[in-house]
Amino acid sequence: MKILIAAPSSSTVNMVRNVFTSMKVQNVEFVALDSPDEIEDLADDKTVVIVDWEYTDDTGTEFVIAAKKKNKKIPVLLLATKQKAGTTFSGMKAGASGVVNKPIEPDDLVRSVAAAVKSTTEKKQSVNVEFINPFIDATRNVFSTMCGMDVVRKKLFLKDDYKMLGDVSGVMGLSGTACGSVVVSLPKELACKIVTKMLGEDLGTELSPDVCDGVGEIINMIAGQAKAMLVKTKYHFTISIPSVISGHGHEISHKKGTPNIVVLFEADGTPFALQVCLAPVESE
Amino acid sequence: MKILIVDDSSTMRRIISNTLKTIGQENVVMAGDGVEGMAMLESNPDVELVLSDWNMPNMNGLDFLVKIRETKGKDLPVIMITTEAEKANVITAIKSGANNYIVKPFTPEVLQEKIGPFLK
Ligand SMILES: [Mg+2]
Repeated sequence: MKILIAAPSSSTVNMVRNVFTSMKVQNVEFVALDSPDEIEDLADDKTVVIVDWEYTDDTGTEFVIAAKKKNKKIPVLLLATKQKAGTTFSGMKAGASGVVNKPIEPDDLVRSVAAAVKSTTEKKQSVNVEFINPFIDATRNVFSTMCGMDVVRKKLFLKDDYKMLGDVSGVMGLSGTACGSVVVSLPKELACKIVTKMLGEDLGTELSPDVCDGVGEIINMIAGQAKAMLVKTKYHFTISIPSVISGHGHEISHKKGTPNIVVLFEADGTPFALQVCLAPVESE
Repeated sequence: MKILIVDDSSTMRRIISNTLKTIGQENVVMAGDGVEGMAMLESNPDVELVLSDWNMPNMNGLDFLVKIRETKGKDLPVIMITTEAEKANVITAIKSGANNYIVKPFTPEVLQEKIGPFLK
């Protein structure tokens, strides 16, 4: 396996190499990338690209784009401090398959790389996404009615880990004929902006209790709208009380064995994510 | 007239009260669930309109509505404002004595239109 590492500082390359050495993973070649163009020559079908999310401009995203241009199947992972969690959306949108938290935990990095490789080599398991459109429509409807904002659907992918893409997430547990969860995860700035628009009062730029409450009400409305659209299908569910979790790089678990679908959206040019993990309850 | 807004989301309570303000209704009291709502009605017997959410902790909006009808009869208008948008929910609420039903998300216009007939 070849790991191509893009980082503004050479210490990252050593850090990654040390992790794999300490975990006794063999047959890995490490190459430091200086520019996105190098990927064209260096990448082969056993390559993983790791992008350190420390560039102060768009260089990180350019590395992701270059890798995906070379071969769509090349897994790309982003290395990001928890403080930067809310900024990794552009990398995900460009095609990155996951985020590894910094400071690096050796287990986490090696496992993430293995999972990324596995997901691209495995035959794609077909995933039933017939229930996703009501959630997408509900999201559009809630944003346009409550905030006067048009949201654009960008990308849809599966995500197995529990790391949230945003700084604040609203979660609704779903139970009934089908069960699972739906989460909206937003960068801080967008969360403040939409709750400000909803209220018509300036809430500033910090994740205050008021902003968090607004995020809870957003997921409440998205879940409720989707619920009504799914009535009389095997994906119907009941909702309860939303909860809100914030903090850089926070994690929210989902039901194991049920595909967790991520829909990336953009509102006013800022990305955010909706995650839906839902499956009919098996009847005995 | 005095209006009671019951919703577990402070954001939603503020959205509703802000909209009421734009139509000249400033006399508002608020509660975060049905239990608090009942207490509010006890201490504010002059409340003339209740706007209540459905999904709330402790006592949900439907139980709150039923309790109002049990203890206060039919005279106090109660309007549900909820994200529960299914026909079955609307029917249940109306049968239990709700005077009107507003589905979230809503525009200020819809809110005004549905609440309007109950304002004094
Ligand atoms: Mg509620």
